Amino acid sequence: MKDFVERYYGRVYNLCCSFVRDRDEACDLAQDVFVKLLGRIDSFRGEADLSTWIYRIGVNTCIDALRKSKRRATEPFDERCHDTARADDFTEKAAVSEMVRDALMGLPVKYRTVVILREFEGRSYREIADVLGCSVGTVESRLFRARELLKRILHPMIRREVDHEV
Amino acid sequence: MKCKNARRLQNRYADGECTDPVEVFGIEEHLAGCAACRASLEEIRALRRILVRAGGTVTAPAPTDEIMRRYHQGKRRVLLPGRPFGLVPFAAAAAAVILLIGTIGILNEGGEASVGQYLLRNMSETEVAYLAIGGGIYPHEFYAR
Repeated sequence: MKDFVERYYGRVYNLCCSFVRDRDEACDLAQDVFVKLLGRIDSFRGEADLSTWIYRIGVNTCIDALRKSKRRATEPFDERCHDTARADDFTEKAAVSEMVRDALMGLPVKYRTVVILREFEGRSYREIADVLGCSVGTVESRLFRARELLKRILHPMIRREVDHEV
Repeated sequence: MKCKNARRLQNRYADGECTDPVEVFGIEEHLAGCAACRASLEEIRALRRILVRAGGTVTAPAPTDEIMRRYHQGKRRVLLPGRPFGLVPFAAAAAAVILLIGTIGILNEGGEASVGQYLLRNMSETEVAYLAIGGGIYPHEFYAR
């Protein structure tokens, strides 16, 4: 069981860091996730992929925590949540990262969840659908709306990125 | 393909989730002739790059011992599902009822037999406690097993 925790902790902790901005809160959430995972590991029948099962419990735990805390998008950003954004090295890259995170935190949870699973965790539409227990079409629709909202919020940044690429 | 349909497919196309060759052909053909949709697709790709960069990877040591401690603590609680304080509330309720019955008994001493006196005279403390926590009449046949 300890091996299981050691192997998957990083992934679960990263997921929790994507949902909440406070590192200590993410650590508490990751622990909650593992207590649930270990408690239910006997019921895992291998019908779903192990990582899908882990993500499912992880995402549900994070969403429950967000609902309980009624977290708002205006909460201050916690630099410590990113290795790339240390207080003594507050570069433009970190500032950009902060703006993006702010925009993401401002999205409704259902949109935020699909963006986190797609962009941060690199899950496919099918895997996201399995994690959330919805259809691939629903994932596609939520991702479309989430990106439309993000495009509006981050428009100047996107323009710069497009110009830079060209 | 019209712009409306192409926009709907763009996310899937940008994510590499467009597996139907007919759809892929349709959107690529449309993109070749539509600057607005090409620009929209570029925006999606740019947004994806920005998000991926902002994601970052956080490293932290796994608090394995704390997790295992909480897990084992939780397992002990499983013995009494939904009762985080075990049988303490029941024991407290039973003690309160016994105390009440005893008090009534003392107050009624010398007079007519009270319900409390009757119960204490005819039932053991365990039976009274069982009655107090809503278990009804103590099941002797069950107890005898």
